[in-house]
Amino acid sequence: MLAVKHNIPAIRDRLKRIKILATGGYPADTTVFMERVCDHVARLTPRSKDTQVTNETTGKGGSKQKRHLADGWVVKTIGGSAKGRIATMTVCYNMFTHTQTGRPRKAALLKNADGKKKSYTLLEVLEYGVQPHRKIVPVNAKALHFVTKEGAEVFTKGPINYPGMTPYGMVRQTRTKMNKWAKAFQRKWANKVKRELRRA
Amino acid sequence: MTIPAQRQHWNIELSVKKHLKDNFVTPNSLGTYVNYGDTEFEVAGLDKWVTFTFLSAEAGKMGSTLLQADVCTRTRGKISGGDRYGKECARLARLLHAAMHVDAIQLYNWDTPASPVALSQKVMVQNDGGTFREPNEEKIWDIEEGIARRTLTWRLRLPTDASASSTVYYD
Repeated sequence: MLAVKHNIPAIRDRLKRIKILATGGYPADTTVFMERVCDHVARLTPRSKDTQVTNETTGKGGSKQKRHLADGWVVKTIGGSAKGRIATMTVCYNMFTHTQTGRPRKAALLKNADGKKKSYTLLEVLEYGVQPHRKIVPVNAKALHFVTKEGAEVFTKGPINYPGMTPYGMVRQTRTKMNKWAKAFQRKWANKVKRELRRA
Repeated sequence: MTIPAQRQHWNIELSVKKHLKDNFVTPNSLGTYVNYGDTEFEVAGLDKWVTFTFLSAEAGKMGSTLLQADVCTRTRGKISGGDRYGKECARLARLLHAAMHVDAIQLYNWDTPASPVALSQKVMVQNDGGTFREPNEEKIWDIEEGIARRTLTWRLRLPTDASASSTVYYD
């Protein structure tokens, strides 16, 4: 008689355990990871001093005036469902300016003085900054009117030099940190799977 | 306890600026104004300018420093008078790209600004994908209000910053 002994039941059990990790723990951990990324980019997004705080219960502002760009960062998982489909992607995006596919919302595109829409939103302005490239002159009124940082009220025919804006780079800074965190995340899960494979 | 010279961010920043001044084509030969973020400037009379901004200062602290460069040219609406299609902007961006096309930049100790001392370490130019010499991203803006603009971003970090998250500095 010729016989061969195999360990297929043991291999099957280990693969079952790895499958439980893949369908249960890994997607949940990925969501936690992306929420950490989302918190980081929200903290780096600048807020003006007189911004209203959003509703702590719902996480969203009640009226349009209370919504702030920094509160718009959300995490969305794509692909999962109640029928047990495995999630394929988790994204973090700003729901006030972009869709979950990364495209800017039409309503969020900035406009020129003549009403023509630009190709970018306020988020890109904060991210990349603005160059000091033009002079500000009154268009619809006879004079410009504004209040300075010191509180003085100014009326002037101009032209005023537009000083530009410093870039904040919150998305790029978060992306750089995210890559480092992702490597640690991958190492952690690779070690978990290796441990399951080696376990008796 | 003081932070070693190669991990001090002002040494890293000034060393990168020195590298750019030495390797990026001088402004006068191209009629381009270059601002390294040290002073404010007026663009009213300029046709071409380049500005540099450091977005973060985490190199030497187990993180990365991001350097943003904005290359801007005026289009003016006439081929002979300005950079109508943004070609000059692209050419300047390529020159800047060539200046930063290095694996690493020599670090100096700038305690004595007039005579910086070369250090044994260098700061790496490596993007998020792990490729050396390449920028993290290059964004091409639409020509608006007569200005063509390109934004390039580089990631800079020390070799010790590239190690695992659990690593700590002992110096």
